Amino acid sequence: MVATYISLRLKQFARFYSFNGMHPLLGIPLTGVLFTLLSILLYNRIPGTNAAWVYCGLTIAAITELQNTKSNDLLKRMMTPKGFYSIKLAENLLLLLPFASIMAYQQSWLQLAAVLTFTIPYSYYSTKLPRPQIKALPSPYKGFAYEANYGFRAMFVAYLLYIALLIAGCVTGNVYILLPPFFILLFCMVASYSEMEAPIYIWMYRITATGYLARKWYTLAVNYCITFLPFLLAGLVFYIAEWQLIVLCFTAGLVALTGVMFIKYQFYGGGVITQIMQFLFCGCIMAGIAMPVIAATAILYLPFAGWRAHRNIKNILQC
Amino acid sequence: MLNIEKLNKYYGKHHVLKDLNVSFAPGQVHGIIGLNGAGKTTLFNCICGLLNYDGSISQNSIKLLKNHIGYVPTELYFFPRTRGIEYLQLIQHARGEQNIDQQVIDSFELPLDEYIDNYSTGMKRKIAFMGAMIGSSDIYILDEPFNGVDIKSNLVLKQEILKLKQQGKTVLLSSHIISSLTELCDDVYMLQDGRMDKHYTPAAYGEIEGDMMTAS
Repeated sequence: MVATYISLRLKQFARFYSFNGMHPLLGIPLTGVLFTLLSILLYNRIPGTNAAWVYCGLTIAAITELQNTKSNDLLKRMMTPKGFYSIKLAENLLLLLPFASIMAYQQSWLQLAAVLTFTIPYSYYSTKLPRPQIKALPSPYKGFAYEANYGFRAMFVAYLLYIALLIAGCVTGNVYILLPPFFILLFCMVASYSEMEAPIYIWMYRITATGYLARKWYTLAVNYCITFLPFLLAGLVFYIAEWQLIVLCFTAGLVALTGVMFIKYQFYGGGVITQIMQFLFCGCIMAGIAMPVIAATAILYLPFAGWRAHRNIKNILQC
Repeated sequence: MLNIEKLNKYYGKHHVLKDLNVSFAPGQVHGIIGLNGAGKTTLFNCICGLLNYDGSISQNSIKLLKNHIGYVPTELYFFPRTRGIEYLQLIQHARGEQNIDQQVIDSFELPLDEYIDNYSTGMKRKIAFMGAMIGSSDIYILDEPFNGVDIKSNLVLKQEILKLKQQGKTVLLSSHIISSLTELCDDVYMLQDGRMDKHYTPAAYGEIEGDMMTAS
C-alpha cells in the first residue's frame, strides 16, 4: 500500500511539471538545485547556530503546511488508521528527506533529531496547523473578489510593523534604516500574492485576457501606491538628498510586483513553483538596486511571463 | 443494525446535531432529507469518523466502524493529476482487494486512463461511487449521489444501490430529488434543526413534499 501511494505521489509530482509546460527531467533537477542553493544561502547568511534552528523551524513549517485536509480525509475513508499512519509517515519522511540532507550536510544533528522527533508522531495526525485570523488592510477594491482579499489586505500585522519601522527610520536620520520596512512589506506582499483565484473568478469579469491583465495590473498599481506612499513620502521629506534611491526602490517594487503578477498567471495553479519563481524575480529586481545589470536581465523575462500569463488566462476565459 | 445514540455535534458554539437517536436496519435503503445546513453531511461525516462527536455510533460487534463504510461525499475531492484507474487502484490496495469488480467498471463507462481533473462533475461522482464500491463494506453512505449524473448512469446507480440492498448492506442515501428517494428507500428520515424530526414509511411518502415546504 505504501509503495502504491508513494509511487502515485511521485507521479503526481512529476506531472506537476508537465502540466506547467516544463519537462520533469528539467524541472525536478532545477527545483533540487534551487532548493539546495537557497538552503545553503540561508545557512550562510544567518549567524551561528541560529541558522540550524531557523532551518529546523522551516522544515517543520513545510511539513505541516503541505498537509491537505481534503486529501487526508479521502485517505482516512479509504484505509484503516494504521494504514493511514503508515503512508503519512512514509510521505512525511520523503518530504523531510531533502531538508534532512541539508541538515546532515551542515552537521545540524540536534536539529535533525528534533525534526524527526516531531515528524514521526505528527504523521498520525497530519493536520494542517490552524492559522490565527488576522485583520486585513483596508483597500478600495474590497468588493472585488481576490483583488483585495489576497496579495494586499491579508498582512495587517506586517503593515503595522512597516509603519512602526518607518517612523524609526525617519527619526534616526539614517536612510538605510528606512529601507528595511519597505523590503519587509514587499516580501509579505509577494508571499501572499501567489494565492490562486479559481477560474470562475477570472471568467466572471467577462473581458479579454489583455483586459483582465490590464485590470489586474491597474488594481495592483493602485494598491501598491496606497501601501507604499508612506514610504515614498517619508523618504522624500526626511531624506530628500537620497531621493534617487527612494524613487528607485519605489519603482523597483512596482516592477517586481508586476512580474510577480505575471508569474502568478504564467504558472497558474503551480503552487510552490509559482512562489519560487516569484521570489526569484523579485530578488533579481531588488538586487538590481545595487547592480542594475541583474534587474535589466530580469526585466527581459517580463514579456515572456506576460505572454504565458495572457495565454493561460485566454484559455480560462474560453472555457 | 447501525445505532446512533445521543449524537451531539458542535461547530464552535453552533449546535448542529442535537441528541440524535436513530437506528438503521441492514438490508434496507434509508433516505435522509433536510434543508441545506440541516446537518446531513455532518451526520455522515460523524458516522465515517471524519469528525469528532459526543454520543455513540455503533454497529453490532464492529469495533472500528469507519473501516466498514463505503462513502460518497457530496463534496468530492481527488488527488490532482491522477488518472481514474490510479485512483481506483489506490483504493483497491488500501482495502486489500485483489482486483476491481469489472462489472462495476464496465457499467459506468468511464475513460479511466484520463486524468480525473478533466472529468465532468457527473463523471467525478461516478468514479467516487466506483471507489466506494471497492471492498466489501457493511454500510454505504451516499451523499447526493445523483447530482450531475447523466440519465443512463442515474439508472445504473439506482441498480447498484438496489444490489447493495439485496446483499444485506445498510445504505444511507441523501438526495434533494424526492422521487429518487421514494423510489429507492425503504424509509425516509427528515433531519431538521439537528434532530430526526420525522420518519416516513412508504405509505407516508406523500407527506414529504408538504412537510418540506413548511420546514424551516
